[in-house]
Amino acid sequence: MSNLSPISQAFVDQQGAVAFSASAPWLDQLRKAGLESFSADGLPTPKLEDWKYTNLNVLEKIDAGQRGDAAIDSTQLTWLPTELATHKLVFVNGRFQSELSAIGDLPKGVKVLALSEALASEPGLVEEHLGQIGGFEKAPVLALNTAFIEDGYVVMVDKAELATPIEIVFVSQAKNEAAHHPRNLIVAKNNARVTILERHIGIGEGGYLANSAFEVLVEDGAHVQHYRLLEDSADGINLSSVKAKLGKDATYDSFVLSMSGQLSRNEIHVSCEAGGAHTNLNGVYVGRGDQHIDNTTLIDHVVPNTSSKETYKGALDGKSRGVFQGAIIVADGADGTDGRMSNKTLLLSDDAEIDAKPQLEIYADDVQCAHGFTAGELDENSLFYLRSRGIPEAIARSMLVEGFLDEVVEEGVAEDYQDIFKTRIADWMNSG
Amino acid sequence: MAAVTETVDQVQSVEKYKYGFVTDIEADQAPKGLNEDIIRFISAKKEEPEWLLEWRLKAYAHWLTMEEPDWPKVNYPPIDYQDSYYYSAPKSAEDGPDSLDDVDPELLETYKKLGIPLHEQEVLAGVKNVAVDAVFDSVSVATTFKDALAKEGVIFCPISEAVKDHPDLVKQYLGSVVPYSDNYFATLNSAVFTDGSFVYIPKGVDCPMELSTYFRINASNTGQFERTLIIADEGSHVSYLEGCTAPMRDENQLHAAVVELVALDDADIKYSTVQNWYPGDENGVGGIYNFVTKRAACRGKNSKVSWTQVETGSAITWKYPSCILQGDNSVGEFYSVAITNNYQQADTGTKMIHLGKNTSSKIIAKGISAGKSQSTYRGLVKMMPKAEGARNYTQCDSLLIGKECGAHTVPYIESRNKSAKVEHEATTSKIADDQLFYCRQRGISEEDAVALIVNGFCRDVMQELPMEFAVEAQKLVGISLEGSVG
Repeated sequence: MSNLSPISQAFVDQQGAVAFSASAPWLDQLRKAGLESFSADGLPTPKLEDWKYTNLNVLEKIDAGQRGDAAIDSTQLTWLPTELATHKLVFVNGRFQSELSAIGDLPKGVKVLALSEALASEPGLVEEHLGQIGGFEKAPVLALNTAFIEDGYVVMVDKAELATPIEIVFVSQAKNEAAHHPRNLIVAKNNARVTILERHIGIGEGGYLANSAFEVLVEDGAHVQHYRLLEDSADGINLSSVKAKLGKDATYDSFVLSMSGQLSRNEIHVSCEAGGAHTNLNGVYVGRGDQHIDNTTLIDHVVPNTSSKETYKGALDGKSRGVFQGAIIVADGADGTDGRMSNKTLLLSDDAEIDAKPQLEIYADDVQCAHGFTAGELDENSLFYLRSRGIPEAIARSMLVEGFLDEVVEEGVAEDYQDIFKTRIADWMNSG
Repeated sequence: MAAVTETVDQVQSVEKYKYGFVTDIEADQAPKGLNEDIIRFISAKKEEPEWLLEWRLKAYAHWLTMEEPDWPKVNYPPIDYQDSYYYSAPKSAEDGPDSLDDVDPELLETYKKLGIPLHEQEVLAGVKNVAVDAVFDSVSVATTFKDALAKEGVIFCPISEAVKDHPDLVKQYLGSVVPYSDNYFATLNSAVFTDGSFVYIPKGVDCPMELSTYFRINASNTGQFERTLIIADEGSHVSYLEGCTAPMRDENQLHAAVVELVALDDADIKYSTVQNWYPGDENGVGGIYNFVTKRAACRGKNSKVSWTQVETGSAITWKYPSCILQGDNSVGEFYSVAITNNYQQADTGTKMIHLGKNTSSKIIAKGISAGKSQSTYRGLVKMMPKAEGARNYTQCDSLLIGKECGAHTVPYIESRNKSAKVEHEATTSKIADDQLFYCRQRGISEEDAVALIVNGFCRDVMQELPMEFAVEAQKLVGISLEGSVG
């Protein structure tokens, strides 16, 4: 314990300092387990294979303490066209803001509420699920999140279909230099359909740590679409851990657009645990300045006849650095697995860097698994083609980069929501 | 098709590991264990100059501070480094054979069994000349065609001899590609290496024949630590092949070799390996631990190094033949077939480090797992900021035969130059049922059909091997997979 780095120790010391609003024996036990696991080794270092390319020493400037809320200008939070913004939850520094939120009418079988509310009014609802998916082994960041479980969102859908998406906004107030650890739960059962559109933003100057965790349980033919937009402020640090467990014929679609912040690490583990389970993991990352963007995914095919498809593409400019670590694991006996993974990166400047580790670990023989990786600059021939037709170079470049990235949006996001992400990518190109 | 027919014949002869005999030869061994005295003993036996002894001791001191790596995807019980002999030499060769007539007839018999043509006449009768350096346990016992090679200025001799006869060259290049502090096993090798081959190809010389080394571990409880150094001076070309076998024994034997290649301007080195160390029996008892460091420095402009390996033996294989592409326009290639069966484990691949402008590299790796074996491709492609216009293409495919084996792919790709292009593709699948059906329908037995399909799967690599060895390698594929189906 004494070997912990100062920042790791600071997080451990917070345990006594934070006054949790909700308490229950099972919840205290869960927090304690998280803290104990985190205390053993502290924050991960590049010496760990899974953290080889990402160094969390940037957290040194972060105050491990958690701060209260401050006033937020609600106009900054609008990002969806009004017809889509019908169920909205806003969190500031990890805490639910009921006055900024509007959950609206929900059909039968659908529960959408803040975790703090659930813990206060219906603790039995979340006790069954919270902390159930995935252990802390090799997951120190998730352990840290668990040690400070307090608020986040809960979406539970049973035998129901939501026509409009659930909108979630996580706001981090930069001037705080503080840390917060939102904990979220998504449960979909019995052919339920739900779409969650999530936006993480940083407001103001300065740094912060947003360390969120998501537990996703999709069962019996249910389908969850989980789309995330990461727009952290320049000095913000965004860590997130998604742990998803898929049952029979369940589908989990994840799309992440990482576009700002000093450092982001987005970790997704999906476990396909019954026949017919399928996951689509897609992502786009764009970097500039000295941004560091890490996408780490692991897909575990545990039983026969499950499938996965994964595409991540990025464009890196300035001195930015992209990291892609993707693993497909096929367990002994998981015959009939179909796993495909692809990672492509455009390097737009001399100082940008991409480090990738697309990994296959296969213990069954009747499988089809493949991964592909490419890195390089824009194709000169395509550029020449556009220029020869009178398109100025800057525009031609934008067209090519956008075309390259939009492909993933078209593949990974349902049609109604594609424009939200495409516009962001276009804005990023134009602001360069 | 002749080679395929031979493969089929070979499989039908239901041969197990045919090199598993032991030769009864009196051996001169150093006492068991590892300490400074043993290193001094080895150095004294080899009549080495002071600087080399110091280098060994420095390596040993460093080794004591190191920890055995645990990152490869292989499992084995801890190795007791004190329970092994670090020097074993056939006694009759004590004073070094002056000619082949002085070599112990039993030893010659051994090499005959191995099919290595030590007698020059036999080789002359063959299609093509191949110069052979044979290393038995720890020492080089015979090198053929020395005179013919000397005419061209090519130096091909045991490294212990090179230390005496060409000290400047050895001193200049030894450890320049794999420094003594490089990794656990390379450092151990630096401390206790006993022999290996030394090759120097002078400027502008196209080496007139294939050079070849055969390694044989015979004595029990010995580790073999050979060190090979090949230097291709400006504009020279050489093709080199190594082959390895060992007797069948219940205990595991350690083989920790180091191979260093240096290619200067416009030079070209082709290094082929057919690794057939004893893999252990079908229950995973015995076999060689093959922990090898192989690295090439493409120092000169337009230099080229090509590694080709066919890995069928060893209980555990742990090696990554690499290229450091320093010179502008230099080329690195890696062609590999790794076959594992029964309880074999292989963690192998390559590293291509691109430093110079317009450097290019190509990696073709084929892994075949059968039985209860585990095979891993692990590789690194690194484009450094100055590697303008560098290019890499990687293709690694795995084939699984049976329910209990595993195949893994762990590539690391790091690109820090926008003009560098990196492409990587990997697939894993089993033998297609329709291919198997097609063969079976035509009266080919299941086992033969598998050998046929696997040979097709490996074709891209096999065709990179020198002609003489391609046939041998194809046979090996058949034998290695024996008992994997049905």
